[in-house]
Amino acid sequence: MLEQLLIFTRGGLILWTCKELGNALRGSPIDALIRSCLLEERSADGVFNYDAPGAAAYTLKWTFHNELGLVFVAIYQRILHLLYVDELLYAMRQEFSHIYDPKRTAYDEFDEIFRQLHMEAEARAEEMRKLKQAGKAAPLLGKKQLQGPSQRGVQHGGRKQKSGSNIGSATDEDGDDSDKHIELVNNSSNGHQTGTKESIARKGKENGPPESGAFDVNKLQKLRAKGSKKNASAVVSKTSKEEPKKNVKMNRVWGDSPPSESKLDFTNPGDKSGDGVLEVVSTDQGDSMMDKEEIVSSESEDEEDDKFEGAKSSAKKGWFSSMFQRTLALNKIERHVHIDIRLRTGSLSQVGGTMPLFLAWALPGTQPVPGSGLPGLLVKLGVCEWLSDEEGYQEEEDELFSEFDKATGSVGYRQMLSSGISGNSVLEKSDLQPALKALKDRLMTKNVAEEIAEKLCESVAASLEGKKLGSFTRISSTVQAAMEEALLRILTPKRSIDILRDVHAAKEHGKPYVIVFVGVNGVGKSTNLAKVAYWLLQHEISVMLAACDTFRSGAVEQLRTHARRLQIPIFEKGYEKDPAIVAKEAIQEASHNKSDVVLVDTAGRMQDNEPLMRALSKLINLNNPDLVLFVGEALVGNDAVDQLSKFNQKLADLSAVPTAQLIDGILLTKFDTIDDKVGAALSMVFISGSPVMFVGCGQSYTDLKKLNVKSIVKTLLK
Amino acid sequence: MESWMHQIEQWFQQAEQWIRQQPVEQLYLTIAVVFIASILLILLRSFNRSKSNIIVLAGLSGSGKTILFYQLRDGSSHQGTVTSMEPNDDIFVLHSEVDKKAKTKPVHLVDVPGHSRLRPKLDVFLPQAAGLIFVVDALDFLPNCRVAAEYLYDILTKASIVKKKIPVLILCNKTDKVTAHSKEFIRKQLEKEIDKLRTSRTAISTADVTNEYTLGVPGEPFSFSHCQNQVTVAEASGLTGEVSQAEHFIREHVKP
Repeated sequence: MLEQLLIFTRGGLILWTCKELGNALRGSPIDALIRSCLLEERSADGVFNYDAPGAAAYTLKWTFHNELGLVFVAIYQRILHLLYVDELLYAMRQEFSHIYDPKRTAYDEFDEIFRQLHMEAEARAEEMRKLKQAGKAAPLLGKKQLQGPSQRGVQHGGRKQKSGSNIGSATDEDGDDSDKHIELVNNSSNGHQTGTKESIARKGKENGPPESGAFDVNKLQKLRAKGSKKNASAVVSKTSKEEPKKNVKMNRVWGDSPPSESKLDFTNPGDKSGDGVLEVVSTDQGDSMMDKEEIVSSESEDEEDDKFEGAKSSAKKGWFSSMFQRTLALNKIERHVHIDIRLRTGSLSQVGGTMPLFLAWALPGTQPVPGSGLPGLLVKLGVCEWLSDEEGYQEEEDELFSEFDKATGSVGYRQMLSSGISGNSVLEKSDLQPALKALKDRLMTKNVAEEIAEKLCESVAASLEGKKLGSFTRISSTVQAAMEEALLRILTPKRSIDILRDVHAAKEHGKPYVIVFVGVNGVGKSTNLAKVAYWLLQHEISVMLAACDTFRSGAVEQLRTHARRLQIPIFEKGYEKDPAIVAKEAIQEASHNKSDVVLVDTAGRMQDNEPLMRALSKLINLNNPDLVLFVGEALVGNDAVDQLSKFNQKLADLSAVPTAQLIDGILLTKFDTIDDKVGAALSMVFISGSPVMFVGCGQSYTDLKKLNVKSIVKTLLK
Repeated sequence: MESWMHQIEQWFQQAEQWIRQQPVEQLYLTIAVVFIASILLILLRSFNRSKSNIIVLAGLSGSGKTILFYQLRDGSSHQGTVTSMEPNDDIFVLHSEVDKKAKTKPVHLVDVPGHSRLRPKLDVFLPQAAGLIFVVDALDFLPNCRVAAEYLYDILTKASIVKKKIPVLILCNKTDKVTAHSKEFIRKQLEKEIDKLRTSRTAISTADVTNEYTLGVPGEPFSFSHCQNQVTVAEASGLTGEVSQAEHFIREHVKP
């Protein structure tokens, strides 16, 4: 049932593969897993679906051993729902960590151990299944009767559909346990059909559980339901598209006179020269900020100087607030201990009187000891421990410890006592939670979308669990370092953002390079289009504009003005024309007059608007642009996630070819209006996987620059 | 001000008197101790400075760096590799030299992941690099030619490479396969691509600093002989263990 099991190091060497399951995998699922999931910080998902070329669909599950730097991966066919994979992976991890040695590269004895683990896991899964089967049989009897007849009807149709087609690639992943229970019950009720179901099962595995047949058929049922839903939605959308064509708004006529179609649109399509008085901009406005270096090093030095000069920067604030919390806790403890002393001076004096002196010295020192505060704390709480060693103070000691933990919210004090100096504590999820929560809140105050922050924190937790803390390092600093690395990884582009090189390459082929600007309403597409045109002109590339925003009043005039100022040709067809056709003709015109780049402006549209999204995908399918730039404003909050994912989804769904062209890059606008709330960049890059190519930081032609990854990461984590 | 000066003079006089009062042996002892300590410090610092002994393996993802690393270290590629997520860093004696009787110095080799999101990791190791091996996939070369050339261009224009004149070896891997390109072909293609990159990157105004330095001689087509540091091309095959040219390069540039 399992296709393959692998153990490999994070450096890339495969340490062990299961030799019993020798099935050759189609495609390269592991590389796909690493590239599109683990390196994209989606490692908290736990499950990855891979469609190999050649009609094979796999599901991959994995787990990490962060301390040793190992990854354990299990691959199996997607239509099988194997319950025991997670347990098996965890058990393997436990066993392997005992025999792992960094110098060794062959672990043959693990075969035997693995075989045992596998059998145990399967046996356990069988038991669980039987238990659930028995437990669910009674309450679901009623349901069974309802579902029975309908299911039988579907199964006949299902068998026909199944005989040729491949279901694995068509179904979505649904791991609902409830489905399985219903399936199990149905299986028991339709016992006479298990024989036929098995023959239907895709790979015809005899040793597979009888339920696998039930899975397939019920998946069919769902498929049919989904298929009908899809048809319904398609039908609905078609009718809705036809409606606007019918309801053209007629002008209200008062009186008997026939409706005079007075012309309200005073644009002059043939008037290109217009006012000759307008200034020619070309090179007068100086260099575009794209070409200026972001002086990063001196910026950071300035910041540090400010930190030292200014009263408190936020980093110091953080330190102070944490120390303040600690002193609060210590004060509480102090009070307790003072009370203890007063109550128990009798017994203490037996120790020779040195104890009260010692306490008097240690406790009034409420100034936090700089650094980790460790020696001071140790003294104070060591005293508490000493006290509690005497009769009956155990509860108070526990209370003090828990109060201290709550107050500081960082590492558990007991752990710190036991391991703080030697540095041997292993990070558990519960330890990471408070630090991660603090980080997540900080990210959200920087305008990162909530679910993105959540996913990031989970991914960082997955990569830190089980790691050993270095000595004298706090958990919060480890978490911060891991988060910084993760953010750097996400924001580093995975493909080249050098547009000039691409333009030159297209020039050699003799075709114009087409860039399409898409986005929702009002984000700054037309303005930033002009900025990009200005920048390209500065690099001696001939540009042509295409006015495919045929909806918004004044859009064509706006572009015409820009074209006049920059002295570049513009292709326009006025209003109320099909943007896809306009774009196509513009590209043909560009190849006639040998323009290098065509910048296509589209109308703003909301991501939920089905007919408009359809029109956009038609434009993209028809013209096959080289670059689809999504223009998003930096002020957007949680909606960024929705916008980008819906745009990508619509482009993928409505595409004519299997490899749809999705959003290739992001243009972030209005960057000057946010001070340090730069989280929108992170949300957009994370959800779409495409890099930020330009950043618009103002409203004049030169205000276009590249994204500086290091400074964004620093700002996000400040 | 004058009172300050006066006080300082007074302190000096007091110090002199105090020193004169000490027995002579103690004075000599302290001077000797200070002398020895400073000599030790200087020695230690000179040892640390000669730490630039790392050979870095870089290249695109899938070109075979991790396999080469293990071939150089253990002489076999074990059970295969997957895309690396972290660098492989080890100090070892080259596998082919293990049998030699003469005492050979261990080599510090680092294999940096090639995935584009992990590019910043290369900058961690470059300051201490004594040589860089750029691994190129000779089998699947043409589709990746542009990306490989861009990566190579970025490396060749980094400040640490240019200033320290770190030698670069372009290693064409997977040459055991029949359809692999020859090293001459790869060299010419890379030179052409870098030439184009040169023009597109230097067309940017003088304030551009994505690459701190420019390559080659303006006006002439680019060739690797124009580079200040030494750039050579060689062939290898990771799977079969044919890594002698790489070993030769390593031995040349790691100080014995």
